[in-house]
Amino acid sequence: MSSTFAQSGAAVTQQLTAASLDVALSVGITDPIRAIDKGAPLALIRVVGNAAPYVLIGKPGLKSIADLKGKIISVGADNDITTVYFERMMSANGLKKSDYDVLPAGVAAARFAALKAGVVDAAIVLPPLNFQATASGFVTLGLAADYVKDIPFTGMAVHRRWAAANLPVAKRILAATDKSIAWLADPSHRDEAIELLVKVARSSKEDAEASYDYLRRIEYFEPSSKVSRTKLRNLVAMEQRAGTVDPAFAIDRLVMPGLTELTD
Amino acid sequence: MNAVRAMVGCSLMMFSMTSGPAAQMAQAADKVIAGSLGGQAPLWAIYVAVHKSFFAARGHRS
Repeated sequence: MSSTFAQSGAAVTQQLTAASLDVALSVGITDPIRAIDKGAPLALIRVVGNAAPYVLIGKPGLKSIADLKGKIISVGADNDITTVYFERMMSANGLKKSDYDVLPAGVAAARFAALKAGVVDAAIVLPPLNFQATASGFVTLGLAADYVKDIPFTGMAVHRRWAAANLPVAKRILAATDKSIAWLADPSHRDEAIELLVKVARSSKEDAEASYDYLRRIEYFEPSSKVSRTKLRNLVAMEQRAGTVDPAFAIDRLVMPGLTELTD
Repeated sequence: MNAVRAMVGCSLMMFSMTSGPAAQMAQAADKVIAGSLGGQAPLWAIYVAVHKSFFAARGHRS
Protein backbone atom coordinates (compact mmCIF):
# COMPACT_ATOMS: atom_id res chain seq x y z
CA MET A 1 0.00 0.00 0.00
CA SER A 2 1.26 3.48 -0.74
CA SER A 3 -0.11 6.62 0.80
CA THR A 4 -0.21 10.25 -0.15
CA PHE A 5 -2.04 13.28 1.20
CA ALA A 6 -4.42 15.89 -0.11
CA GLN A 7 -5.83 19.02 1.46
CA SER A 8 -9.51 18.34 1.84
CA GLY A 9 -12.45 16.05 1.31
CA ALA A 10 -13.44 18.26 -1.60
CA ALA A 11 -10.04 17.58 -3.14
CA VAL A 12 -10.59 13.84 -2.78
CA THR A 13 -13.95 14.20 -4.50
CA GLN A 14 -12.35 16.19 -7.30
CA GLN A 15 -9.75 13.48 -7.80
CA LEU A 16 -12.46 10.85 -7.79
CA THR A 17 -14.40 12.82 -10.39
CA ALA A 18 -11.29 13.01 -12.56
CA ALA A 19 -10.83 9.22 -12.15
CA SER A 20 -7.48 9.74 -10.47
CA LEU A 21 -9.10 7.74 -7.69
CA ASP A 22 -11.44 4.78 -7.97
CA VAL A 23 -12.94 5.00 -4.50
CA ALA A 24 -13.32 7.67 -1.84
CA LEU A 25 -13.41 5.58 1.33
CA SER A 26 -14.73 8.26 3.63
CA VAL A 27 -15.52 11.88 2.82
CA GLY A 28 -17.99 14.45 4.00
CA ILE A 29 -21.16 13.16 2.44
CA THR A 30 -22.19 16.50 1.01
CA ASP A 31 -19.06 16.60 -1.19
CA PRO A 32 -20.08 13.78 -3.56
CA ILE A 33 -23.69 14.93 -3.50
CA ARG A 34 -22.74 18.41 -4.71
CA ALA A 35 -20.39 16.90 -7.30
CA ILE A 36 -23.06 14.53 -8.63
CA ASP A 37 -25.51 17.42 -8.82
CA LYS A 38 -23.01 19.23 -11.05
CA GLY A 39 -22.65 16.18 -13.31
CA ALA A 40 -19.73 14.25 -11.78
CA PRO A 41 -19.88 10.52 -12.70
CA LEU A 42 -19.85 9.38 -9.09
CA ALA A 43 -22.09 7.22 -6.96
CA LEU A 44 -22.57 7.07 -3.22
CA ILE A 45 -22.33 3.45 -2.09
CA ARG A 46 -22.27 3.58 1.69
CA VAL A 47 -22.72 5.77 4.71
CA VAL A 48 -19.66 5.57 6.96
CA GLY A 49 -20.24 8.16 9.66
CA ASN A 50 -23.87 8.04 10.66
CA ALA A 51 -23.85 10.86 13.19
CA ALA A 52 -22.06 14.17 13.36
CA PRO A 53 -19.46 14.18 16.15
CA TYR A 54 -19.75 17.95 16.76
CA VAL A 55 -19.76 19.11 20.35
CA LEU A 56 -20.89 22.50 21.57
CA ILE A 57 -18.57 23.69 24.32
CA GLY A 58 -18.75 26.86 26.36
CA LYS A 59 -17.07 29.03 28.93
CA PRO A 60 -16.97 27.90 32.55
CA GLY A 61 -20.18 28.90 34.28
CA LEU A 62 -22.48 28.13 31.38
CA LYS A 63 -24.70 25.19 32.16
CA SER A 64 -26.88 24.56 29.14
CA ILE A 65 -27.54 25.62 25.56
CA ALA A 66 -30.34 27.85 26.82
CA ASP A 67 -27.66 29.88 28.64
CA LEU A 68 -26.35 30.98 25.23
CA LYS A 69 -29.09 33.57 24.80
CA GLY A 70 -27.34 36.88 24.12
CA LYS A 71 -23.96 35.19 23.74
CA ILE A 72 -21.47 34.92 20.87
CA ILE A 73 -20.80 31.47 19.44
CA SER A 74 -18.08 30.43 17.04
CA VAL A 75 -19.21 28.31 14.10
CA GLY A 76 -17.54 27.20 10.87
CA ALA A 77 -18.75 29.40 8.06
CA ASP A 78 -22.04 30.85 6.90
CA ASN A 79 -24.28 28.06 5.65
CA ASP A 80 -21.72 25.32 6.11
CA ILE A 81 -22.60 22.04 7.75
CA THR A 82 -21.55 23.15 11.24
CA THR A 83 -24.13 25.93 11.03
CA VAL A 84 -26.84 23.45 10.11
CA TYR A 85 -26.10 21.32 13.15
CA PHE A 86 -25.60 24.31 15.42
CA GLU A 87 -28.87 25.99 14.49
CA ARG A 88 -30.80 22.80 15.05
CA MET A 89 -29.25 22.43 18.49
CA MET A 90 -30.16 26.02 19.33
CA SER A 91 -33.72 25.84 18.03
CA ALA A 92 -34.32 22.63 19.97
CA ASN A 93 -33.54 24.69 23.07
CA GLY A 94 -35.89 27.48 22.12
CA LEU A 95 -33.30 29.87 20.75
CA LYS A 96 -33.85 31.74 17.48
CA LYS A 97 -31.12 33.25 15.31
CA SER A 98 -31.96 36.67 16.72
CA ASP A 99 -31.26 35.40 20.25
CA TYR A 100 -27.50 35.08 19.77
CA ASP A 101 -24.59 36.16 17.58
CA VAL A 102 -22.33 33.87 15.62
CA LEU A 103 -18.73 34.40 14.67
CA PRO A 104 -17.64 32.27 11.71
CA ALA A 105 -14.08 31.20 12.48
CA GLY A 106 -13.34 28.43 10.02
CA VAL A 107 -11.88 25.17 11.21
CA ALA A 108 -12.53 23.59 14.59
CA ALA A 109 -9.11 24.48 15.95
CA ALA A 110 -9.72 28.15 15.13
CA ARG A 111 -13.13 28.03 16.76
CA PHE A 112 -11.64 26.55 19.92
CA ALA A 113 -8.88 29.17 19.82
CA ALA A 114 -11.52 31.91 19.71
CA LEU A 115 -13.14 30.40 22.78
CA LYS A 116 -9.86 30.13 24.65
CA ALA A 117 -9.02 33.72 23.77
CA GLY A 118 -12.34 34.88 25.19
CA VAL A 119 -13.53 36.26 21.87
CA VAL A 120 -16.62 34.04 21.98
CA ASP A 121 -18.65 32.40 24.72
CA ALA A 122 -19.05 29.02 23.05
CA ALA A 123 -17.82 27.08 20.04
CA ILE A 124 -18.81 24.02 18.07
CA VAL A 125 -15.82 21.70 17.83
CA LEU A 126 -14.84 18.13 17.07
CA PRO A 127 -13.07 15.45 19.07
CA PRO A 128 -10.45 15.47 20.45
CA LEU A 129 -10.72 19.25 20.99
CA ASN A 130 -13.76 18.87 23.21
CA PHE A 131 -11.85 16.53 25.51
CA GLN A 132 -8.98 18.97 25.72
CA ALA A 133 -11.47 21.77 26.35
CA THR A 134 -13.22 20.08 29.25
CA ALA A 135 -9.86 19.16 30.76
CA SER A 136 -9.11 22.90 30.72
CA GLY A 137 -12.32 23.82 32.51
CA PHE A 138 -14.67 24.53 29.60
CA VAL A 139 -18.05 22.86 29.73
CA THR A 140 -19.92 20.58 27.33
CA LEU A 141 -23.25 22.17 26.45
CA GLY A 142 -24.53 19.64 23.95
CA LEU A 143 -23.74 16.97 21.38
CA ALA A 144 -24.97 17.42 17.82
CA ALA A 145 -25.72 13.71 17.66
CA ASP A 146 -28.34 14.10 20.38
CA TYR A 147 -30.23 16.62 18.27
CA VAL A 148 -29.66 15.64 14.65
CA LYS A 149 -30.32 12.00 13.89
CA ASP A 150 -31.86 12.20 10.45
CA ILE A 151 -28.88 12.98 8.21
CA PRO A 152 -25.66 11.01 7.66
CA PHE A 153 -22.27 12.64 8.06
CA THR A 154 -19.64 10.86 5.95
CA GLY A 155 -19.91 8.40 3.09
CA MET A 156 -18.07 6.18 0.62
CA ALA A 157 -18.22 7.02 -3.08
CA VAL A 158 -16.96 5.46 -6.30
CA HIS A 159 -16.28 6.56 -9.83
CA ARG A 160 -19.10 4.99 -11.83
CA ARG A 161 -16.94 3.81 -14.71
CA TRP A 162 -14.53 2.05 -12.40
CA ALA A 163 -17.32 0.50 -10.33
CA ALA A 164 -19.16 -0.74 -13.41
CA ALA A 165 -16.01 -2.48 -14.59
CA ASN A 166 -15.07 -3.77 -11.13
CA LEU A 167 -18.36 -4.57 -9.44
CA PRO A 168 -17.09 -7.63 -7.48
CA VAL A 169 -14.16 -5.61 -6.14
CA ALA A 170 -16.43 -2.75 -5.13
CA LYS A 171 -18.69 -5.19 -3.30
CA ARG A 172 -15.71 -6.64 -1.48
CA ILE A 173 -14.71 -3.18 -0.32
CA LEU A 174 -18.18 -2.79 1.15
CA ALA A 175 -17.98 -6.20 2.83
CA ALA A 176 -14.56 -5.40 4.28
CA THR A 177 -15.87 -2.10 5.61
CA ASP A 178 -18.83 -3.87 7.23
CA LYS A 179 -16.42 -6.27 8.89
CA SER A 180 -14.18 -3.45 10.06
CA ILE A 181 -17.02 -1.51 11.64
CA ALA A 182 -18.34 -4.65 13.34
CA TRP A 183 -14.86 -5.32 14.73
CA LEU A 184 -14.61 -1.79 16.02
CA ALA A 185 -18.01 -2.03 17.68
CA ASP A 186 -17.01 -5.07 19.69
CA PRO A 187 -16.07 -3.78 23.17
CA SER A 188 -13.54 -6.58 23.57
CA HIS A 189 -11.47 -4.86 20.86
CA ARG A 190 -11.39 -1.50 22.67
CA ASP A 191 -7.78 -1.68 23.82
CA GLU A 192 -6.51 -2.89 20.46
CA ALA A 193 -8.49 -0.24 18.63
CA ILE A 194 -7.07 2.47 20.87
CA GLU A 195 -3.55 1.20 20.34
CA LEU A 196 -4.17 1.29 16.60
CA LEU A 197 -5.33 4.91 16.63
CA VAL A 198 -2.37 5.93 18.76
CA LYS A 199 0.00 4.21 16.38
CA VAL A 200 -1.55 5.12 13.03
CA ALA A 201 -3.07 8.53 13.67
CA ARG A 202 -0.51 9.59 16.28
CA SER A 203 -3.26 10.33 18.73
CA SER A 204 -2.51 10.57 22.42
CA LYS A 205 -3.75 7.56 24.36
CA GLU A 206 -6.07 9.75 26.42
CA ASP A 207 -7.64 11.29 23.33
CA ALA A 208 -7.97 7.89 21.66
CA GLU A 209 -9.68 6.41 24.72
CA ALA A 210 -12.06 9.32 24.99
CA SER A 211 -12.74 9.28 21.24
CA TYR A 212 -13.50 5.56 21.28
CA ASP A 213 -16.03 5.91 24.07
CA TYR A 214 -17.53 9.03 22.50
CA LEU A 215 -17.96 7.50 19.02
CA ARG A 216 -19.62 4.47 20.57
CA ARG A 217 -21.85 6.72 22.65
CA ILE A 218 -23.12 8.59 19.57
CA GLU A 219 -23.14 5.43 17.40
CA TYR A 220 -20.93 7.20 14.91
CA PHE A 221 -20.12 4.35 12.53
CA GLU A 222 -22.93 3.02 10.38
CA PRO A 223 -22.84 -0.77 10.78
CA SER A 224 -24.69 -1.63 7.59
CA SER A 225 -23.90 -1.03 3.94
CA LYS A 226 -27.59 -0.41 3.40
CA VAL A 227 -28.26 3.27 2.72
CA SER A 228 -31.39 4.87 4.09
CA ARG A 229 -33.40 6.47 1.30
CA THR A 230 -35.11 8.68 3.88
CA LYS A 231 -31.82 10.00 5.25
CA LEU A 232 -30.57 10.69 1.74
CA ARG A 233 -33.75 12.60 1.02
CA ASN A 234 -33.27 14.61 4.21
CA LEU A 235 -29.70 15.40 3.26
CA VAL A 236 -30.55 16.47 -0.27
CA ALA A 237 -33.42 18.59 1.02
CA MET A 238 -31.02 20.27 3.43
CA GLU A 239 -28.62 21.00 0.57
CA GLN A 240 -31.46 22.30 -1.56
CA ARG A 241 -32.57 24.66 1.19
CA ALA A 242 -29.00 25.92 1.40
CA GLY A 243 -28.98 26.46 -2.36
CA THR A 244 -26.03 24.14 -2.93
CA VAL A 245 -27.99 21.50 -4.86
CA ASP A 246 -30.48 21.99 -7.67
CA PRO A 247 -34.11 22.02 -6.44
CA ALA A 248 -34.99 19.34 -9.00
CA PHE A 249 -32.20 16.99 -7.93
CA ALA A 250 -33.48 13.43 -7.35
CA ILE A 251 -31.73 11.03 -4.97
CA ASP A 252 -31.71 8.26 -7.58
CA ARG A 253 -28.83 10.15 -9.18
CA LEU A 254 -26.74 9.50 -6.09
CA VAL A 255 -26.78 5.73 -6.16
CA MET A 256 -25.53 2.93 -8.37
CA PRO A 257 -27.98 0.09 -9.01
CA GLY A 258 -26.43 -3.25 -8.24
CA LEU A 259 -23.99 -1.72 -5.81
CA THR A 260 -25.68 0.83 -3.59
CA GLU A 261 -28.20 -1.01 -1.45
CA LEU A 262 -31.06 1.32 -0.62
CA THR A 263 -33.38 0.64 2.25
CA ASP A 264 -36.66 2.19 3.55
CA MET B 1 -17.54 18.61 7.56
CA ASN B 2 -15.22 21.39 6.50
CA ALA B 3 -13.97 21.37 10.03
CA VAL B 4 -13.33 17.65 9.93
CA ARG B 5 -11.31 18.06 6.79
CA ALA B 6 -9.28 20.88 8.13
CA MET B 7 -8.69 19.22 11.44
CA VAL B 8 -7.56 15.87 10.20
CA GLY B 9 -6.26 16.45 6.72
CA CYS B 10 -6.68 13.85 4.07
CA SER B 11 -4.99 10.63 3.17
CA LEU B 12 -4.93 8.64 0.02
CA MET B 13 -4.51 4.93 0.08
CA MET B 14 -3.70 2.52 -2.64
CA PHE B 15 -4.82 -1.05 -2.35
CA SER B 16 -3.61 -3.74 -4.64
CA MET B 17 -6.62 -5.92 -5.06
CA THR B 18 -6.82 -9.37 -6.50
CA SER B 19 -9.47 -12.00 -6.84
CA GLY B 20 -7.50 -14.87 -5.40
CA PRO B 21 -4.18 -16.68 -5.64
CA ALA B 22 -4.50 -17.47 -9.30
CA ALA B 23 -5.51 -13.98 -10.11
CA GLN B 24 -2.65 -12.43 -8.21
CA MET B 25 -0.12 -13.35 -10.80
CA ALA B 26 -1.95 -11.61 -13.60
CA GLN B 27 -3.55 -8.77 -11.78
CA ALA B 28 -0.93 -6.05 -11.94
CA ALA B 29 -3.56 -3.67 -13.28
CA ASP B 30 -6.20 -4.89 -10.89
CA LYS B 31 -5.61 -2.41 -8.16
CA VAL B 32 -7.86 0.10 -6.56
CA ILE B 33 -6.76 3.61 -5.89
CA ALA B 34 -8.68 4.83 -2.92
CA GLY B 35 -8.71 8.22 -1.30
CA SER B 36 -10.16 9.30 1.96
CA LEU B 37 -10.61 12.10 4.34
CA GLY B 38 -7.86 11.27 6.79
CA GLY B 39 -7.23 11.95 10.40
CA GLN B 40 -8.04 10.44 13.72
CA ALA B 41 -11.22 8.94 15.07
CA PRO B 42 -13.58 9.53 12.09
CA LEU B 43 -11.33 7.33 9.95
CA TRP B 44 -10.96 4.63 12.57
CA ALA B 45 -12.89 1.98 10.66
CA ILE B 46 -10.72 2.45 7.60
CA TYR B 47 -7.58 2.15 9.71
CA VAL B 48 -8.96 -1.08 11.14
CA ALA B 49 -9.75 -2.46 7.69
CA VAL B 50 -6.24 -1.73 6.49
CA HIS B 51 -4.27 -2.74 9.55
CA LYS B 52 -6.33 -5.81 10.39
CA SER B 53 -5.99 -6.82 6.72
CA PHE B 54 -9.74 -7.03 6.20
CA PHE B 55 -9.29 -5.77 2.66
CA ALA B 56 -6.67 -8.44 2.14
CA ALA B 57 -8.93 -11.05 3.69
CA ARG B 58 -11.52 -10.20 1.10
CA GLY B 59 -9.13 -11.06 -1.65
CA HIS B 60 -7.26 -7.79 -1.80
CA ARG B 61 -3.82 -7.02 -0.59
CA SER B 62 -3.61 -3.80 1.28
